[in-house]
Amino acid sequence: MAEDKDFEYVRRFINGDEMAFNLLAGKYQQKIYWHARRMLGNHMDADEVTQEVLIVLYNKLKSFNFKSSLFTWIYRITATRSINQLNKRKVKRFLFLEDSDYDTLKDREDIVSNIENREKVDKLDRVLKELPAKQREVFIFRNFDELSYEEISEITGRSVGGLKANYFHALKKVTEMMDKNENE
Amino acid sequence: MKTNDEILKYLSGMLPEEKRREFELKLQKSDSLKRELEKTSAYLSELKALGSLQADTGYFENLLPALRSRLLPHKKKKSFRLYPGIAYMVPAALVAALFLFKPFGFNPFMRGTSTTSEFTREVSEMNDQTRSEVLGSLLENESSITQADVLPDNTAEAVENTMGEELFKGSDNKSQYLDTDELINSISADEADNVYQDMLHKKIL
Repeated sequence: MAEDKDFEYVRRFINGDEMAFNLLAGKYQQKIYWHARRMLGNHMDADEVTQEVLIVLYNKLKSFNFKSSLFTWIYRITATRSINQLNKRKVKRFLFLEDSDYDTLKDREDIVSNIENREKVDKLDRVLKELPAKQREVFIFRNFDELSYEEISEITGRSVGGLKANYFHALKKVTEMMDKNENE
Repeated sequence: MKTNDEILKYLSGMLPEEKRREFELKLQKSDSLKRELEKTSAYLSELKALGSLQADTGYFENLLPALRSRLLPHKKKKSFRLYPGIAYMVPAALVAALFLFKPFGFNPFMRGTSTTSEFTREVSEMNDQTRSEVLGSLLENESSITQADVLPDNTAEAVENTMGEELFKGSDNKSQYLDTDELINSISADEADNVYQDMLHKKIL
């Protein structure tokens, strides 16, 4: 049903209705942002990825083939862009190209300003940061986006078996960290 | 298999159907296993709760208008940012290049001439005007270029020798560098007197 609605918006946008894009963006922007935010661990990078994904959506929506669901397509773009952003940051750090005030800026410009929420997000970031990118991705898709292995497989192009193995290792690391935190 | 691994495999959906049923039977019988599973599930629920946040709604309300302005065609600003990384890398690359070329006899101070014999041959093959220009320039910079760490091998010595030979070769060069005392002593008292009278007559003195 939701898929039919998405397809209707896409068709309207292809026929020139700009409002249909606004409706689609409004529906998915939070999902895009929070996926990127959990993957990247800060607002600045998540904001960049969210804007990039919406721009790609705007420019490429006309070539959408209606074979897969729209949310799979959007998540695929988001996941790829998030991994790219992570790699970009690694390269920048390696070459000392990162702005010196990057750490200050990424904390200052945050949409999570409430102290209680800030603590929550910091705690979650600390846990997720310890996971390698692929494990982190599966863990986020399973636990926060609540997607099935089949859906994640369609988004990432990886096998279900491989995803299960990634999730198992992620769970192991996460529980070990939580155990350690509890004992301290 | 460790108990914890078994629980994690169960939660990850990695256990095949048969093993899954076995594990669930074991779970009904073992309180410690049940507690362990509950603990792991509680960790996951805690993490999930950490993920459900109340964010500032203003950001999402302004996201699309901000994006629209980005989508509109506009002139790309030309800006120059001096990345600190590049600032480190450029001098490092230059120093590295200097070390790389050094073993191949490259010397930025001696363009095209790498050995003493080549230098001597080139100077001797020059016409008089070029030679005097080159030697004049060498004379001006003599103090700096004859330092052993600037010129390779015995080139510094060769430069001095060649300059010496060239300067005292030919009558024109000689006349320029004759000692004044030698000139005075080479004429007799009468000749000197004649010269003096001549200068008085011509109102030079």
